[in-house]
Amino acid sequence: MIWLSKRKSIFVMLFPTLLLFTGYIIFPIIISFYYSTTKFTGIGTPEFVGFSNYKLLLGDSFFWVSLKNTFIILGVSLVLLIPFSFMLALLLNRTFKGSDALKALNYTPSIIAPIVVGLIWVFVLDPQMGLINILLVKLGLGNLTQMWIGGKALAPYSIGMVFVWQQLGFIATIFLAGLKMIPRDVYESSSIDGAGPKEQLWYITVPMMNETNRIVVVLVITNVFKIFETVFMLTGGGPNHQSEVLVTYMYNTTFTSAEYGYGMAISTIAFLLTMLFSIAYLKLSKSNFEGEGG
Amino acid sequence: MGNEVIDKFNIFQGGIEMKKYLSGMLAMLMLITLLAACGNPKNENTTNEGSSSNPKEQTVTLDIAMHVANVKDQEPAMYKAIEAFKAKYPDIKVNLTGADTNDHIKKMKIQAQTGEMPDIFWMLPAPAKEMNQAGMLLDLSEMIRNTPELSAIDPMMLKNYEDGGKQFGLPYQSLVTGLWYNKALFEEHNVKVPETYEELAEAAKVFKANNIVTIAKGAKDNYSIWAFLGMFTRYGYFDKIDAILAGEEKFNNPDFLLFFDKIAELQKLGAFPENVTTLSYFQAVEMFTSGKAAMLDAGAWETVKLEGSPIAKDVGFSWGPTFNDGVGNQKISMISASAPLVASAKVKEDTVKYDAVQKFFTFYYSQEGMQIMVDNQLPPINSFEADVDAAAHPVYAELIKAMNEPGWEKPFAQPDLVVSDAIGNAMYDSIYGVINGFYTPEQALDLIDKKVEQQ
Repeated sequence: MIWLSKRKSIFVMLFPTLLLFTGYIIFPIIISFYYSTTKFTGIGTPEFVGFSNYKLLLGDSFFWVSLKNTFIILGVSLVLLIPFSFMLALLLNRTFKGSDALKALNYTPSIIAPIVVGLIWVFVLDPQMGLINILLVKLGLGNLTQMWIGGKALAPYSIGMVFVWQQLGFIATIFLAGLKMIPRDVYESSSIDGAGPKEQLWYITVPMMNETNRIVVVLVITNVFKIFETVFMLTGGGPNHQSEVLVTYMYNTTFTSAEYGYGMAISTIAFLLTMLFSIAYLKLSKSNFEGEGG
Repeated sequence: MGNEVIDKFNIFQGGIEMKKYLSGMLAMLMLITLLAACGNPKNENTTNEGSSSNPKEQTVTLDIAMHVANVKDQEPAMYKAIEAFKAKYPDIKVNLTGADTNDHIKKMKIQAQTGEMPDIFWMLPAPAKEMNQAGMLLDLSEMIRNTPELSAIDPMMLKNYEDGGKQFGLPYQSLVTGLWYNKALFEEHNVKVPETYEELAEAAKVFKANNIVTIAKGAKDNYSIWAFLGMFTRYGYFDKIDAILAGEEKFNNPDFLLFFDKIAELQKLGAFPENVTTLSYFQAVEMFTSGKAAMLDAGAWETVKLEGSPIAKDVGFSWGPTFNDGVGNQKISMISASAPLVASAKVKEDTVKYDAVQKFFTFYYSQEGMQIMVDNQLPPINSFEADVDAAAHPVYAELIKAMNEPGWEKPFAQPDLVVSDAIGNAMYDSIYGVINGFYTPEQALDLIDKKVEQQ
């Protein structure tokens, strides 16, 4: 143990991770920022153009659409995913007949490849052949059918719902791990003091899950800013870029339109926004927690 | 050894030393990564004895890369041509690889940056031109001059792949695009197969009333606008495009606006599938082959599929409508060069390989090669006389009939292939934007102009 705590030992142990982190995370970030200051089609020598790609982004309506859609999905996720997965975790924290099977089942959407998730949901959301609209028509509720995908308005909300469906089990499992870490004796003491389930939930469970909450919110933020395959398969960012999110728009710009410099400017913005939101949330939640005397 | 390690790590005693060490390590790491990235790739010589003045005695491996994942199934003519070539030249081995078009293009660009391009590969015209400008592609001018099979290729097609005095590519296939139509549906609803825009609009009204899609299309694959690109040429596209790219003219001009107005009119008439926004091109093809659509916007590459469909005997091919307010010749048949086959400039460094590349191109464009194309229901690139068995290949016979119709003029190229990828994509977006009902004609044209300005 003494050997482990020595600085040189710490460095030796950290070095492989540091090496990989630098090679696969830091270095690509630096490289992509460099390319974002160039005009480059992927062939020949990049031409340095300073920050003009960033200036172009300001006037690019598709960029703003992709940003707006990313925030819509983030909003849907924060509003639905976190409370529902927390409730699911509370349910799974109880022992009942079939609870183990339910735990396994609840995790299933998370292990399906996102590209397959996108494909599955095409058959649910498609306005003509999708399950939802067909069911609505069969139930005599044809007036409620919508352009869940393929229209101008609902696609980002639909993508948000698909994301919630896919992540629910995963986030619930993290919450469940957090719930398992709360000492049982705290609940027992509160019961002796006369606290009921509601009081225990509000005054013990929720505050003691603060660290888990912070991890979950940061995970949701980063995962939303990374959404790609599901959107790519579900709508391809279309029609006419109306359902693009930042990463699909970056991909389409970079690889389909061969505007590598411009695409890298979008990826740099996506990276900065993810960092900004994650750090801001961590700071804010930490100060609130400390302010409450936590 | 253990003491040495301890001595080395004594430098960590102070914070400043640690920072210095970390900076040093980081610099080293960056250097290693840079060296790895920028290192000269191994120049593999795939000939068994390297270059030689006597190429006939050596075996050589040609690396050929195509734009489809499964060349055998998706590009059977190319696959069979390669098999026949291998049989004719047993000393030349062929390493054929394929990847999905987008992946293939990405791969070629990455390999171009590292100098590891295949010997022969398919490429889109715009990036191929850039590769040529960067000196990465073999100038085929001399090869063409010395080979009758290559100099027999239509000069207009060859001109597409000429830049800076260099011939950087050869047309992979004839790009023949237009509207496939279902004769039975036209007869059933007593509608004339449209030759003019007015007839097309009339047909759209009748088909809409009978719950039949007039033109099957899928916006999910935004590039699937071939027939509309053909119609674009009937509004003076090639008269204006140079001035537009030079910034002296706009896409949003009165002539192009007339054409986009027509697309908007067709959209309002319900000529396209109601779910066009969520349909893929492949679903649109299914829609046509299952008899739910009267026409399909596609090209010669669908011949085999259509021959195998239940509507094979009813399929006809049209170049699309002419317009009474169009600009210039209206009888334009979209027969042009498809994306090119190009060869790596490195081939020139190895006489054996150069010889093999020349043999491959010679074979591919020979009468033997053309026969393979015809056998696979593809239009030949070079002049080739063949009897088409209309009973066995009714769809192919219709295509060849349309190609041989007198009085139709070939354009210089397909309109999207003379602009950059970014502008081409903006064209797709703009035309589909009107078809989807998302853009007005003006908005759609402004979208392309904006992209032109950005370039």
